[in-house]
Amino acid sequence: MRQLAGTLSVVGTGIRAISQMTQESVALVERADKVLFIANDPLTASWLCELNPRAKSLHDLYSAGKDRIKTYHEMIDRVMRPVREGFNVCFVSYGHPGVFGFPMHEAVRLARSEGFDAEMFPAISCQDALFAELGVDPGAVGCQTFEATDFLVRRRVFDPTSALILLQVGTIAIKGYMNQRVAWNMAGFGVLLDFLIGHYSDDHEVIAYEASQYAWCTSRVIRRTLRTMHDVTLSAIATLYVPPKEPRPPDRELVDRLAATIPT
Amino acid sequence: MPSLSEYCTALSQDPDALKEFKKSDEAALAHMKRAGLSEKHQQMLLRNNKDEITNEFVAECGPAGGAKQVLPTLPGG
Repeated sequence: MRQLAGTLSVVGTGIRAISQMTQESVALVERADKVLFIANDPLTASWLCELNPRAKSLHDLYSAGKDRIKTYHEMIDRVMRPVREGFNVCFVSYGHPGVFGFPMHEAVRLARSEGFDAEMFPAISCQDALFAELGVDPGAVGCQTFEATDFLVRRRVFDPTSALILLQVGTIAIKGYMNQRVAWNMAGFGVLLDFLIGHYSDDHEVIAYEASQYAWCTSRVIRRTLRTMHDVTLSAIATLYVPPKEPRPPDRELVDRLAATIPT
Repeated sequence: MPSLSEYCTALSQDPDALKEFKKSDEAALAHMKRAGLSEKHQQMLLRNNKDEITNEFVAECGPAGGAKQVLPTLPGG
């Protein structure tokens, strides 16, 4: 396919305002002909506009009650328009653009399918912040990540002896958008906690985590049992971390098979 | 005198200053005073209320990039 003139770079700002953006991403924002962004705080929004005065927010596409999937498709249309006109476009999202990032992935896929050069660059996700702040190492016992609604409605098969991270626990079953910082569906969160109690004990300690969006502010870390977490007022952006239950014993047969493969 | 957003933008990019700021309220206050931040903003940062600080950023910078307002985003990323 012939390479067309427009390009698309998709970058993330990380979770904390300004401080978590990579040098590579900053350079891409500065050099772009057009910058379109979704920031999660006004400081980052303002800073992006300083980096590149042509930067424009996509926030006007959100509105209360509107299906988020419609908003996401409108974002993709708005990003692709200047790419098709031959501009070098930088699409900026908060966090990691590829983690829970339908419009960012879809924009890259679409741009490539139409013959444009498109690339996504990694950034810091809320899960990365969680690993650092809660001292969770996914290499220790593994780690499973699910979107909370998807986890419930598909009864995702998971291993309670491994770490479990559930995102969007404050917006369970909500397809639309609500302009409020507290959880959009606390009753849905209650259903999730009841479901988890079926797999862990009700006194299993879990953590509701909300990474700090400002470097000088503390993150919100609420430790409760699955039973008492019901009483917590969650924010819409909270993540639930469920530590593993007892360790899973190794499989003797596979251990022996692997031992036999080790070069002497 | 720096605005709150100017002060916080600089703070966010200076790990040494951040380390000092987070040591204690006294250390934070000393840093803010040295930077010439207003009394009102010093108190605001000491209260550490994210929503209050966010609202002040919006008041100072406006929702940048042509947005009508800064709306809460979902925990993607």
